[in-house]
Amino acid sequence: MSQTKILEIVDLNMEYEAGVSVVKNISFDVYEGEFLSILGASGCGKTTLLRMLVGILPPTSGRILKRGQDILKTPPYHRGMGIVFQNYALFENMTVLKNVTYAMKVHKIPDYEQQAETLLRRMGLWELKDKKPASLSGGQQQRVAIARTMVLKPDVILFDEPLSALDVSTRLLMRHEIKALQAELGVTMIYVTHDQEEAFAMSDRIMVMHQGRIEQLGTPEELIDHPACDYVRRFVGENLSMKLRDLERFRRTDS
Amino acid sequence: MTKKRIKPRISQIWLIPGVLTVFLLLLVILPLGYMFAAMDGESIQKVFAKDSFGSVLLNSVVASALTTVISLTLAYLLAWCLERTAIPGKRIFYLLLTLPMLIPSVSLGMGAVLLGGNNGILTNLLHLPSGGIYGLFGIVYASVMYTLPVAFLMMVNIFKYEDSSPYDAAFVLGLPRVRRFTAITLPYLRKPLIAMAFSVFTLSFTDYGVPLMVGGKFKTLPVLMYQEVIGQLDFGKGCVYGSILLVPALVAFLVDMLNQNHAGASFVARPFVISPSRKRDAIALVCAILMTVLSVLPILSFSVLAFVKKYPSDMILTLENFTRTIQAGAGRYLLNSILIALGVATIGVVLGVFLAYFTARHAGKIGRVLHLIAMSTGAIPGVVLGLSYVLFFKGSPIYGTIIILILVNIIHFFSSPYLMIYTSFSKLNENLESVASTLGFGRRRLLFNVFIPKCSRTVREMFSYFFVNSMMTISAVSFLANTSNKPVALMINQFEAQAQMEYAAVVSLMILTVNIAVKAAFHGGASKQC
Repeated sequence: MSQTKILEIVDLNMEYEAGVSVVKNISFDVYEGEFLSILGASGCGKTTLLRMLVGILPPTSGRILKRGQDILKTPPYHRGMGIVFQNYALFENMTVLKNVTYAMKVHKIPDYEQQAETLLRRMGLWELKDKKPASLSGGQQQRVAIARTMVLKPDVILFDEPLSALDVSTRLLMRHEIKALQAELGVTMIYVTHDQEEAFAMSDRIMVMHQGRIEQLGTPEELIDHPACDYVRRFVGENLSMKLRDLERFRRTDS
Repeated sequence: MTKKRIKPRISQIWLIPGVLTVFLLLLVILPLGYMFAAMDGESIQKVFAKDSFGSVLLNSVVASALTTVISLTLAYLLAWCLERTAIPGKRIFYLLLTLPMLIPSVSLGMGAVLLGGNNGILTNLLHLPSGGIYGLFGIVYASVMYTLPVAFLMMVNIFKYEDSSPYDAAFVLGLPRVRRFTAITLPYLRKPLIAMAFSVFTLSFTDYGVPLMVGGKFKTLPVLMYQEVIGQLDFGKGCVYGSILLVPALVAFLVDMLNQNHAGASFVARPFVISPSRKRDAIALVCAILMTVLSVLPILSFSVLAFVKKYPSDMILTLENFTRTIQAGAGRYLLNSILIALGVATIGVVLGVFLAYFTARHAGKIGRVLHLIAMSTGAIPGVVLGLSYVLFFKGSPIYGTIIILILVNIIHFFSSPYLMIYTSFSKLNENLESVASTLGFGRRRLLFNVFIPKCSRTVREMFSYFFVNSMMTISAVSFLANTSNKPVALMINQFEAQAQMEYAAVVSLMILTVNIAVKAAFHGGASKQC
C-alpha cells in the first residue's frame, strides 16, 4: 500500500428525503493499492456510500476527488472504477465469454479477445467460457462478475458484500482469490461487508460505520487495540482473542 | 457551513416517458374525457326514463351473475382435474379448453345457435323444443364458453402456487375432506376468487357478441348501446350506456389492484404430490372429457357447417362456402384483419416494452402514474373505447382508416401484454443498470442486448396476444370500421343477419386458423427464458 492518495472524500452527505441523512458528512482518504473495508451493520449507509463513490447515486452534497480531480460530475465508467455486487448482476442471456467481452466490444478495445482469454485463464474460467450464468455455481458466477469488472482495468474496484450469498467454503476460497488478484494487479479495492471476520482477514484498513457516520478508520490492529468508542468496541471488540488469532492465521495463509 | 446541494442529472431517458405520456394521454385519457363531456342531462334523463332500461340492466346483471357462478365452478373443477389428479392427456385438455380464446365471442354465440337454435344440430338430434336456446339460457351457455378459458387459466395459476403443507398437516391431524376444503382451500381462494369473479362478470357484462347472436328478445346493455349508436346514431345515449358499462369494469380493476398488493404475501413453494387413486382419476377424466366436449362443441358445430352445402337440408361436403365467402369480400377483409393485427402487435409490443422498461426499472411518480394508466386500459370495455374514439377522432385524418383501428386495438388489449413484460423486467437483477453504467454503456444497449433477448419468450407471447385478440375483436372496431377498413370478424354479424350461417362459419374458421397458426409459430420455439 503506497502513501499516495487515490481518492479523497470530503463532507459527503446523502439525503433520500429532505432532512433525513443516510450518509452524514463523511470525509476520508483512500490510498493507491489499498484494501479498505467498510464495515457496519445493515442500514448504516455503507452501500449508499459505495454507490456514491462509483457514481450510480449522486450525493446530496460533498466532494469526491480522484488523484486530485473532482469526479462528482464524471459518469461512472469514466471514473475508472468498477463494482461487483452480491447478486452478481450478470447478463443471463450471454455466455461467460460474452459477459466479459461485451463492454470491451462496445468500447472497441483492440485485442479484446486476447485480453479476456488471459484473464479468464488466470481466474480459472476459460473452461466455462461457453456456459450461460444459470448453469454456473454461485462462486463461479461471482468470479465471472469480478472478471467482467477487472477486464476493463479500473483503478479502483468496489465490492458490495460480494461473498454474502456464498457458502462458507466458497467464501474462504474467494477471499483468498480476491486478495491474490489485488496483490498481483496492485489495484485499489474498497470492500463493503457486515462480516467482521471477512474485514479483518482481508483489509489493510477498516472503516467502521454506524448510522451514516464513520465511527473509526484504522488498521485491524488499531481497531482491536484502541477502539474509538463503545460502538466499535462492541461491534469489533467482542472475542478479541479470537479475532487476533484469526488475523494472524489469515495473514499467514495470505503470505 | 453552507452546503452546496448537487442537482441530479436529467437523463435522456426522460424522452421515452415524455413520448409515452403523450401517447397515453392522446389515446386513453382525452377520448374518454371527451366521451364523458359529451354526456348531456337530456340523454341521461332519456336513458333512465326509458321503461325498458331497468329490465335491460337487470337482464345484463342476471346473465353475467349466472355466467360468473357457472364459469368459476367449472373452472375450479377443471383446474382440480388437471392439477390435482393424474389423468392422461393433460396437454390435449389444455389445448382444447383454451381453443375458444382464439375465436370471437360472436362465433361462440353462433355456435350455440347452431347447436340449440331452430334446426340446430342438438335440437334435431335430441328432438329438443326449437327456440329454447334464444334468450337467457343461450347467453349464459355461450358466455360460459367465452369466459371459461380465462377463468380456467386463472384458476390453474392459483392451483399451481397453492402450498401443500397445510393439507399435509390437516391429513396428519385427521381432518375430514370437507373440513379441509372449508378451512384451507376456501380461505386461500377467497381473494383470488373475488378478483376472478369481477373479471369474469365484467367480461360477460360488457360483451355484446354473444347476446347479439343468441339473445333474441333478451336484450343486454351492450346490445342496447350498440343499437342506439350504430342503429340510431344517438351518441348522447351511447355515452350514458358506456359510462354505466364502465362501472363494473372499474370495480374489477380496483379489486384486482388491491388484491395484487397481497399476492406476494401468500407466495409459497411446496408443490402438491399427486397420490395414486384410480377412482379419483376416473371421475376426473369423465368430468374433464365432458366439460371439454361442451367447450369445443360450438367450434365443432361451425366447423361442420362451413363444409356442408346447406345445413340441415343438404349435408353434402363441399368447399363452395369458402369460394362464396371469398367472393363476398372476405379475402379482402381478412387481409385488412391481418394488417391490423400485425400493426397492433408490432406497435403494441414496442410501446409495451418501452413503457414497461421505464415503469419497472425506474421508480418515481411518473413511472407509477404511467403504470396505473397502462393497467387501467384493461378496465375499459371495447364498446366504450370504440364510442369514445368515434367522438374524439371524428373529422381527423386517421378517422375511417386502418390506423384508427390499429390504435384502438392497441389500447383495448394493452394491459395484459404490458403486465407480462412488466413482470418479466421487474424480475431481472436490480443492479443491471448500475453495472451497465460502470461498464460504460447506456440503457439502450442494455434494453436491446440484455433485457429483450433475456425476455424474448415474453415478447413473443405479447406479440401473439395482441395479434390473436386483434384478429377476433368486434367490440371497439364495430364503431369505427367502414367498408374500406373493415376487419373480417365484423362479417360474422353481417352474414348472420342475412341468415347466411355457412358463410359466417367460414369466417369464424378463417380467424381460428390464422390464430392457431400464429400461436403455433410464436410458441413453437419456447425456451427457458423469462
